[in-house]
Amino acid sequence: MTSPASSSEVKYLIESSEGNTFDVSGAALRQSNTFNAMFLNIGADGPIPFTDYNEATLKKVFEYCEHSVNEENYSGPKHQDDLSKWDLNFFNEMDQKMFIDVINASNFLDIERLTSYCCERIARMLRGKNTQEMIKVITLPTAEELEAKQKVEEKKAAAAKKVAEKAAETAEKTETLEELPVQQLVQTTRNKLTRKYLSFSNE
Amino acid sequence: MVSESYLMNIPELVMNIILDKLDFKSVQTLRKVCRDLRDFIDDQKPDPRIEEITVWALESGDLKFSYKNLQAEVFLCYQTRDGGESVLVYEDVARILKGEENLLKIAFKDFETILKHQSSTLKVLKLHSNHFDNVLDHLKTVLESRNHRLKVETLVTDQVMKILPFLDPDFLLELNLFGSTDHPIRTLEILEIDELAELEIWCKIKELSIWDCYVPSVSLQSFTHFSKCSIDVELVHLEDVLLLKETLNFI
Repeated sequence: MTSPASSSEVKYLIESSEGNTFDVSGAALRQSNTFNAMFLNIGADGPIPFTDYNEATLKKVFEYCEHSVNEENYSGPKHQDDLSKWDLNFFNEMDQKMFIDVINASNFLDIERLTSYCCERIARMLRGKNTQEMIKVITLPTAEELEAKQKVEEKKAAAAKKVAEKAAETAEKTETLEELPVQQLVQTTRNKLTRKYLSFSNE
Repeated sequence: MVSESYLMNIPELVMNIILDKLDFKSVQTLRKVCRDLRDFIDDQKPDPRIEEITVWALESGDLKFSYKNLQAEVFLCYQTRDGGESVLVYEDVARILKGEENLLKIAFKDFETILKHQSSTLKVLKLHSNHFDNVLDHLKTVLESRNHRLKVETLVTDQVMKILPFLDPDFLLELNLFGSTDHPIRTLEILEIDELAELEIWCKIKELSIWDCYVPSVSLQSFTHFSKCSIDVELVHLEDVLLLKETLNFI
């Protein structure tokens, strides 16, 4: 059976920051307004260079595009309960860094649905929280901090062992041990954030 | 620079989409998270899209503010405690207000901050000023200082002259006036009606109701252009009735 080559079957080669190339269907790619404006009419010789973003990020972005090509697969920014299993998986698979990279890439490629969808997820994390809770949401731990936290936990575990040998009065000690490092953590992340944010606004 | 921190590495455009999705309460809270976010939000001026505001000035001198829309509701209560201490009660937590400024000034400063970037239309503005003139003066100052006049659809108030001139005349549809509750029935001064009727906004209002006040019959002429009007007149002269008949027939 032969069918005329519909535009959805056209594949484009995408080049990532690592220099790797992979192909994406035209239908998926056309969800990017940036692509539409730059390449759709003039076409591209060789792979399209989206070299500001790494392969994993781009693949994730186009995974969403491929999925939402069909209108019925698009479950936009609705209520959390309305999210399909696919959507939940899509977001749960990502760590913080990946999530931010995907937002950045989606913003650059101007994929309205994905950007709006990601923003809704962030908004949902912030909505109805008080300042302290928001600080926690925003300053999710970095790798070094996670390491530091792990050390603290190891210390805590060691302390707990000692405590277990002693009586209930020493339990207070572990509590102070628990609280102090976390407070310091919040403080250091707050300081760090200020600087990072400044660098972003200068871009 | 690749960094693993969260919200802070997001492009401005994306941050604006997020702000747009947040309700005014969350934006105000986010503004308090750190200085850069505060600067960013102050710079971007997101519209809080508040729909209903109610202000009560109580006999005790306490002030209550309620800000509402479909997504969020904020209730603020400014009180002076027995020791002369000023407190702000918000979500059942009392916070002591420090500084030299009086309660009224603090309350309206908050009012100004919250409403500063409101560009959408406020559906309802209710003012129970209890005829405390200083409350109205503060409100007037805030409304007057705005770059764009506040758009209000329905105004409910017991003191109209200090507020009405400072609202956007093209948006007010309904005006509800009521007298003070201590003196159940009083007469709306002729002077006040004349002043009101001279305002540009008066001619554009569609619906009017006045409660607990008599309207002097000589000013009936000023009420003929409303599509819906509910007023009390203590004594109506025959000429007034004829005049009404004539005017309304004419329309």
